[in-house]
This record gives sequence, structure tokens and C-alpha cells, in this order.
Amino acid sequence: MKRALLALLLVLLTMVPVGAGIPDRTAPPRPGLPPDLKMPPVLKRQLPNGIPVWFVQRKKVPLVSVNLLFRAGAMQDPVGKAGLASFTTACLDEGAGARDSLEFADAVDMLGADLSANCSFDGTVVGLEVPTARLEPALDLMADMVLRPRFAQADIERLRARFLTSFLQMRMDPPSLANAAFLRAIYGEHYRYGTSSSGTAAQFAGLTRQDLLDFHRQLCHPALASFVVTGDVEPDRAMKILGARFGSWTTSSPALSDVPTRAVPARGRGIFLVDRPDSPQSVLRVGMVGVDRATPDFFPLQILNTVLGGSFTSRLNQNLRERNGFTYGASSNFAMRRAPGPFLVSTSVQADKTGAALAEILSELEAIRQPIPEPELEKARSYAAYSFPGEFETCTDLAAQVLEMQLYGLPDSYFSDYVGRLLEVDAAATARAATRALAPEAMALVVVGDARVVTPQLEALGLGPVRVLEVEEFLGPAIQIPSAQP
Amino acid sequence: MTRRILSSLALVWLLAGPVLAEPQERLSVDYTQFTLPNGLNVILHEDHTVPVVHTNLWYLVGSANEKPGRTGFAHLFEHLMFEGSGHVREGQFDTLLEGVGGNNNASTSQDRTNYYASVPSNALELPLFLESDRMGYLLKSISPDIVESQRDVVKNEMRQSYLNRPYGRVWLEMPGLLYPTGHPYSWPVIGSMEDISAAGFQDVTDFFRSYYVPNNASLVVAGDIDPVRTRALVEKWFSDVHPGKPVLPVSVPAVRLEEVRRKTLTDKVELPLRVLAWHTPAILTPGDAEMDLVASVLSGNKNSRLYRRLVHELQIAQQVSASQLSQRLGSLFVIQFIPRPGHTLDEIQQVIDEELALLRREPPKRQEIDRALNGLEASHLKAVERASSKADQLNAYYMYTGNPDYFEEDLARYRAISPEDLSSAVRRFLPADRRVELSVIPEQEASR
Repeated sequence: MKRALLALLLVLLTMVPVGAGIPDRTAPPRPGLPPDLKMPPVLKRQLPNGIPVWFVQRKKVPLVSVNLLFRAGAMQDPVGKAGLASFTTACLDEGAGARDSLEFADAVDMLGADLSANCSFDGTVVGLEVPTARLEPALDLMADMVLRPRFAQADIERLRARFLTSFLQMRMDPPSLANAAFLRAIYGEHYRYGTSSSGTAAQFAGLTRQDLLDFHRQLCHPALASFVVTGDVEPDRAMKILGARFGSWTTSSPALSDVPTRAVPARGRGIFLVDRPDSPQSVLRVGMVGVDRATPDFFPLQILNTVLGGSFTSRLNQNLRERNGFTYGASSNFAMRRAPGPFLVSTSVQADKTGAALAEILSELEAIRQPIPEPELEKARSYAAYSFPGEFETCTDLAAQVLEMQLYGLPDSYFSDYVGRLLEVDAAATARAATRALAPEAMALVVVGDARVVTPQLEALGLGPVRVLEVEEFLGPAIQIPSAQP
Repeated sequence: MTRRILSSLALVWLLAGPVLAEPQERLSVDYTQFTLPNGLNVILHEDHTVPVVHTNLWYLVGSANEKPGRTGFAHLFEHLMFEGSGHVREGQFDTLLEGVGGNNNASTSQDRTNYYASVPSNALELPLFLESDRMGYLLKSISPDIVESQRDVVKNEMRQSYLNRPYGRVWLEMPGLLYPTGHPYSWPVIGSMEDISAAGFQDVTDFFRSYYVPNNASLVVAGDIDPVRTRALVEKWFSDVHPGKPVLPVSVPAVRLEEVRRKTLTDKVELPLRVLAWHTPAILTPGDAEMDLVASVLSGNKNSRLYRRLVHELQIAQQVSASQLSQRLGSLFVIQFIPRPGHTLDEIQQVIDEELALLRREPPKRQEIDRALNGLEASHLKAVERASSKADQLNAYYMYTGNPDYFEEDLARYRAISPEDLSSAVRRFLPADRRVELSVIPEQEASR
């Protein structure tokens, strides 16, 4: 009896709900079927003068994002004038149309708009985000900025002094030094990617107003232009508003032309040290010239990089951070541009672990060329593929995705194919891509740190001679800042 | 780690109409709220824009709860929360989330620690399992080895974010200058190397039992959810977590500076920098919104007073920025500046003092406030589009005001401010003779 009662009691007890029942924690809950990946349709129209306008409509918040892309940028900087695209772009909102610099800024701010221009190596984007109700006055300002910038000498000089001061500050910033030294190490002085998109202080100092006017005329050119409009706006209404401002824009002057891509000469391994006495950490960059955006290995390389250094559980981060505690974090990245951009591993490690960390990085770079075990591959595929829909949440997210399509001429099916293409990547594909894209024995190793502490560690690695770089070698001479003439 | 997160989203809907012309829409974020028997507060919010779900879990514990000799511990503890729990092996937390296409992270401030994850909506149950497991069973898996390895990571975080970064030491020194010894804000959130080294396994146990209890936490689940099903899942996964003892909020007497406290550091920098700092009203208390607007009027845009004069007209400063850093036990207001080569900190400070004196004397123009309001709106506008930021804001409002949907009330604070209010706030809270002046000068100048 007792036993039976006890059994009954036990049954009753287990039936008593605690909340909604004691959860079974023996295994993690399994996800259901992945949600339907409905990619937003891109509507393609064009203005009377042929400028393409691509729309993705989204009515969630009364906001609209209008982006004017020009398919040219810092890659088109003339020889000896590195930074011209950046400087030209930065000057666009320094007075335009009927307004001087401060008046222009005030007009933008009073609309609650964000309006700015940025250039990369491949493209230049004038971007606007504004409440839908104020789209028209905001587009007036955008049109002024693109079509009627003033380039007043006083504004040019004011901005030049700010840029030159930034160049000066960069010389004391360890990550900036490491990036600049690395790019110079893999591309050399004569390939445009060997210098940052904003150029060097020495070349910046020599840019003239005429340079800016000439470059602007060729950069902000209808033949290079296309629009991406996202958010809460009816395409018909937007076409009317855009047409009134940009629809009859024509010019007989030539546009910037494509820069023929040249092969970058292979350099072989180099070990470079920038001495920064007493640094508690060494900033490390390891890598080489990578691949261009049109690489047939695009999807395999996404997966490969996710495994190598593109996620928290990636090999580099697990090794250097979680297993060894050398760093706060380590990552890798392929910068894919129209021409082959850099592949690089980035991290900052405590000074006394510099050699050990470099050895681990090199060993991970060797290991990633072997076939990736299936469970690791499966995790990387799921991570890369199933996080994709989250990239479409805001107007700005949408615009960034569509701009990439436009800039690199990606197919209409790009979004709808994206997840499937990632999910089909197998070990053979990543191994093939790794063999083609990565050659650890030919990579540059750049260290910004305390030479006294770091040099013996680098020598002990036995990888080859260590070349000590002076900052002037990759950033050029420091330039005196002209004093203001307000 | 000391990110300002409150008062974001606040002014968003003002933008929906023409500038200050018509009555604004009421700003409101729909939610449902309930409390589990163990005391866990739960808030659900639907947003189906993309098929993604966000969990955002606040524990009301931060560096202000640390004991002397254990500064930096709240943040070190945050790291330990990712290293496995009773039913999750070390390394599995991130592996499981990435395996479904999820991302996650956390941050620690003086006042709170938040943990957040985003997953495709088919995997909603996974972060609930993981969060509830570390809330209920962390101590079953944590070992001294794990503490050791995260101690090294945190020390490298300190090196990377403070010690090897130009001007990085400023924010290690500032708390000690502003607050008296023993005040819970008198040390930096990252702590000291010494204290991080000293933290032991017993500290982990004590801290977990005192603060990581459901009755000291609030969970928001936002995004592509079905509220009924989500409620059942939350009840399922968190029901076996035992409540802890009540957690008493940290409270301290108000602090006041009685003089100008000056300190100069040297660093490997090209140009000097100075930070002026004052004590200002606590987050969401009277005066907090005023100081936010004062910051915008001073440096929020090209036509703001300090930017316009120092950077645009005189061109003697490379950078000037003012901000109200809102905190629970009292905020601070800082003005930070870097001179152009050939100009001095004192030269710039003199102009700043002139501008502050002018604001004390004469109210700003209405247009400056409108522009500042629009500036605040613009910078926060994007946040309302993101379910993850709404999730964090719902928790912030709930923890600081008791009302998750405090969006309209927050907004109303700014709408009510008059030009004279700003003048009077500057008079009251930004005196020239009671503040901190912390400078960094280049090593090469110090040795001259």
C-alpha cells in the first residue's frame, strides 16, 4: 500500500505543473524549419535621361532613403593625387547652390535629414535619409550638393587643415599604422590599394581647387549615376520628384573611365615591424592580395572565412582568444573590390605573446587549406545563410544591399539565390577556393609594437629577416598644418 | 562598455510631421507584460518586418555593485556567462546559436548588464533555453580554469580599449576625479589590472547568487513572434529557475564637487586633449533632458555654438564634443576637445568658458533648440526601425521607470523645454569653478 501510494504521489507530483512544466534540458531545443526567405522585390525604372532608379518599398516607418551612386571613386584618383576623390566628396556639402557651408548644414538639420557623401575605391554614394513628408526639400539639397557644389577656396582650406590634422593623428594610432603598413607591404607604392582611399598627407596638401572642380565634373556624371530608393515612398511619386531634379541632367564632358586592372606583382613573405616603444599590445596584420568581387569563389570564400575568422566561434578567435587568452578578439576578412582587394587577419595581442600568436595564425592559415570537417562546415553554412534575412530590416540595410547589386552588376536573382548558394558549399569547394586564394608562405606579417619586446620573438619564429619600417616609409612625411585664415 | 542607451528612440515621431507645425503623433510601442512566479519580468513585442527574433535580458547589476578590491568584476562575470552552464558545455553557447544563424553579445555598465541574442524566428526556443540555463545553472559548470582564461581575455580587452589606444587612459582616471573614494561610480567599469587579477572563484559564486536571480532581471522577446506561443515557451524554460533574495538597489548621497580638480596625463599622442566634466541630474530625472539639449546646442551639428566657433570659424580645434552621459545614481556632462597643431588647450577652454557664460546669461534662440531636437531625432531615427534596439529600450524604460512603453513620456520631457530652461540648467549644473579638468599631453612635450 505504502509503495503504491508513494507511486501515485510521485505520478501526481510530476503532473503538477511548475509554470508550464519542468523543461527537459538534456538536449537543446531543435529549431523548426527555417522561415520562408521572402526577399524584397527590386523595382527597376529609369529617369528620362536614362539614369536607373531601383526601388524597394517598405511602409513600416515614415522614412525614405535615397542614394545616388556614381560608379567611380578613389581608384580613379590621378597618379600623384591620392585622396582627390575623398577630398572632392567631402567638399560637396561645404556650400552648394544658394547656401554657404553653414546655411547648407542648417537646412539639412532643420529637415531632420541625414545627407552625406562618401567614397570607397569603387564607388561614391551621396546618401539621404529623411522623413517621407520632407522628401522634396531634402532632394533639393541633395541636387544642390551633387550638381551645384561651390568649392569655395576658404572652405577647401578649412577642410584641408582638418584632413591634414587627421593624417597627423593617424601616425600615433596603432591600428591605423598597422593597416597602412600592411597595405603598403602587399601592394607597394604604385598600386592605388597600397595607399588608403583618403590618400597621403603629402599628396593631399598639393590638391588644388581646380583639381577638385575637374574631378567633380567627371565623377558626378549622369553616365556613372544610378539611384537606389528604399522605404516608405510610392515609386510613381518618387520618380516625379527625382525627375524634376535629375531627369534632364545631361553633359557633353567626359566621365571618369574605368581603371584597367593590373596584376599586382607577387612579393613573397615579408615581416615588417613598426616600433612603438612600451606598447602593452602588438597590433598584428597578416595577409596578402586576395580576390575581386567577381570571383567565382565568392560563396565558398564566405563559408571559408566564416570558419577561419568571420564569426565568434571561428578558428582564429577560438584559438587566440578562448584557448590561449592572447587577445580580446581575432578576425579575418576578404575585402572584395572591382580589383583584388586585401585578405587579412587582424588582431591585437599582449606584447609578450606576439611570436606565439603569429605562429598560431600561420598554423590556422595552413590548416584552413585542408578540407573542413562537415560539422564545422554545417555550422558555418547555417550561420552565413540563415543570418542573411536580418540584413534587410531597415531602409538603410535595404539600400546597402541593393547598392552592392548595382555597383558590382550582380544578377537579378542574387538575393533569391543567396541562401541556396551558401548552403550548397561543400568541403571540396572551400578547399579549392583556399588553394586559389590563400598562400600563407607568401603573406606579409605586420607588427606594430615594442621592438625591444617583439624582435626576439619574431627572430625565434625563424620566418625570415625582420624589416623595421619607419612611419615615413608608408605614410610619407608629416606635413605642417597651414594656420587658419578665418 | 559604458554606452549611452537611454533616451534613444525618444524623439522619433516628431519627425513624422513638418517641423514643429502640427501636433505630433503619440509615440507608443505595443507590448504585453507578465511576471513569472520566480519574479522574472517578461515583456513581449511583435515586429514582423523580417523573420528574426531578439531576446534581450537585463540584470540590474553593474560595476556600481562591486566590492572594494574587486573592481571590474561585474564585467569579468559577464564574460563567464558565455562559457557554459548546467546543461550547456563550454563553447556550446556560441556554437549552438551560430548553428541556427544567430548572433549574440552582452555589455556591462555601471548600472546594469544586458545579454542579447538574435535568431531566425524558427529558432526562438534556443536562446530561451540558453538564457534560462545560465540564469538557473551557471554554477554547475563554471570552473577556476574558465575564470583564468576569461581573466586573460579581459586584461587584453583593457589593453586594447584603454592602454594601447590614444587618450584611452582618460576614462580610467575620470571616475576617481569625479567621485569620492568608495562611491560606486569612483572606479571604471573595466576595473583595474590588480583587481581583475585578484578575483577568485568564490567571488563568482557570491556574485551569481546575489545578483543573477530572476527577481533582479527583465526579459524582452521582440520581433517575429506569436505572443501566446512565446509566453508559453518563456514559462516553460524559466519556470525551474529559483528566485533569490531580494536585491536592494544601490543608493548613495548626492555628490558635489567643491572646486576645480585638475589632472594631467601623458600619452603617445600627437595632439593634447582635455575633458571638462560636471555632475548632472540622474537619468530620466528633472534636468537630464535639459542637459541632453544643452549638449546638442553646444556641439550637436555644424551650427552648434562650440563647433561653429572653434572648428568652423576660428579653426583652432580639431574636435569638440559635448555630451550628457546619463546614469542611474547621477549623470555626468562632459566637453572634450583637441586643439589644432599650434594651438593650446587653454586657448580653446577660454572660448568654451565664454560660450558657457553667454548661455548662462542669455537663453538660446528657439531655432537652436529646434535644430537640436531635430538632431537628436535624426541620430535616433534609425533605432526605431530595429526590433533589437526597441527590445533594449523597453527593458531600459521598465528598469528605470517601471513602464516599458515610456516612449511618449520620454519625448514629452524634451518637448517641454524652453530656451530659458536651458540657460537655467547651464547656470545650475555647469559652474566654471566646480568641475574636473583632465588633460592628456603628448609625451614629447612633457619631457621638454
